[in-house]
Amino acid sequence: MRSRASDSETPVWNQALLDSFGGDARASFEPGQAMPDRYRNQADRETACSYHWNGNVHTYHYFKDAR
Amino acid sequence: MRLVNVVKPTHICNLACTYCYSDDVRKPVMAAETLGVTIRETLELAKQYESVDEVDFIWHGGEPLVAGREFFESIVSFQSEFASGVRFTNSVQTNGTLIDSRWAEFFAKEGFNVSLSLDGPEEINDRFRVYRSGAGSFAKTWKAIQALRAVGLNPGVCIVLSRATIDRTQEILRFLSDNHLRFNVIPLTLSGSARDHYDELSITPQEYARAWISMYDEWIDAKDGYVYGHDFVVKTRAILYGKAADCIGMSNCADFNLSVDPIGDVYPCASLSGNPAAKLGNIGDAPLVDILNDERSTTFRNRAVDPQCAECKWQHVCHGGCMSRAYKFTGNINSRDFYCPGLFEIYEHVAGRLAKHSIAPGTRNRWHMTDGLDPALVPFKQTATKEPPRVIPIHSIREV
Repeated sequence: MRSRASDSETPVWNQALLDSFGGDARASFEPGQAMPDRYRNQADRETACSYHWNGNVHTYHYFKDAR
Repeated sequence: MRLVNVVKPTHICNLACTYCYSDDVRKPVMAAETLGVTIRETLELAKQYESVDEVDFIWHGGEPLVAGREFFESIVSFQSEFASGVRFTNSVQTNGTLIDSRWAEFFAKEGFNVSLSLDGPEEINDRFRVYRSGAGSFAKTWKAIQALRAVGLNPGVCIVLSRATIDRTQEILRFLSDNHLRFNVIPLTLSGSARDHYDELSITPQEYARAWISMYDEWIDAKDGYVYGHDFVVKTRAILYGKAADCIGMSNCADFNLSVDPIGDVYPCASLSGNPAAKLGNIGDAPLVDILNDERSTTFRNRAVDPQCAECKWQHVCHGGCMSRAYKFTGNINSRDFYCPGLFEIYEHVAGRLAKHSIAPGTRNRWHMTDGLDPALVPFKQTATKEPPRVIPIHSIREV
């Protein structure tokens, strides 16, 4: 079966993804680096994340989720 | 889990924005005694909730800086007196027009995060964010940004999506990127002054989704021009982790969110402040933990699952959307957010964009109905026995 175009590319981090994953990802990788499977794969993704109030820009900080 | 208290030092504002959401037209400034009790009770509540590891104090309004620097110095003093080991953060949401170098130095010294209300470039911002004279506020807010940056702070801005801005999102995003301004986008709410201008400013859920997505697509692909976009991050994060990442998507937001107004009245959300049907009690009358466990609070802390939500593929990240918006638009907290169809489009789109990066969405969190918490750790609450209160309409009063 022919793979999808996205499957044939090596996914890399960009800043938006790093901020969205937060915690370890934000602290461990740089934009442009390849994204390890453990981040791409739902089965291996850790599920801890807090929630943040939505009426303000600063209630989410990636460092707040590094636990 | 974070405990969020959005405290309103005053409802007074030196601006008269056309779309202001505030429903409260009373004018007091919070007394020092009320401030002290509010801080003490919030920190006490955090100590009693095993699942809470940090408190976010959000200083909101009205324009909170109208309360004056002494008031803010009292905040720091009371927190120091009552924290006893509880971790907390301070953020202020302000129009910025009163910020000078002394305010900036205070915020830097005391570690306050500063979020400014600004809709983008001057011409867009000054159409609605105005003084009572009609003069625009951009120039003064811009001075605030410069003053804050001069002391090493990096303020962000909150943008309201309305009919006036939904077709100019690329211009707005370029402005934010060029000026390195972190941002949040929030759709117009049916309350306060916005109610008086709703025909002119309202957007449909589909228009909201289209505007949001047009910004998101630029944002997620941005390279050198990347700036942090709060709502984009939390909605992406929700899809990644299989549960809500912001208060909008929580199953029971009122378990960990509250708001205290200038006279000490407690509400389940800052957006409902001033609505008598949503008042839970007064901070001076009873311990906060008791206020949050009485009958009225219980109805807000047990939001029912809408039948359509129960069938929705994104229920675990959305839970019917914003309870406050549901309440304002339909009169019932147990209904779905007015923007529900738009939120569905948004979550679909985010998942699609992640798929292009070969990133799978997170599995549905098994405890998503308790917002990711082990149910044993959810703060005690009684089962709701009464119908939720209906909206008592408040028609905003224009000052002469």
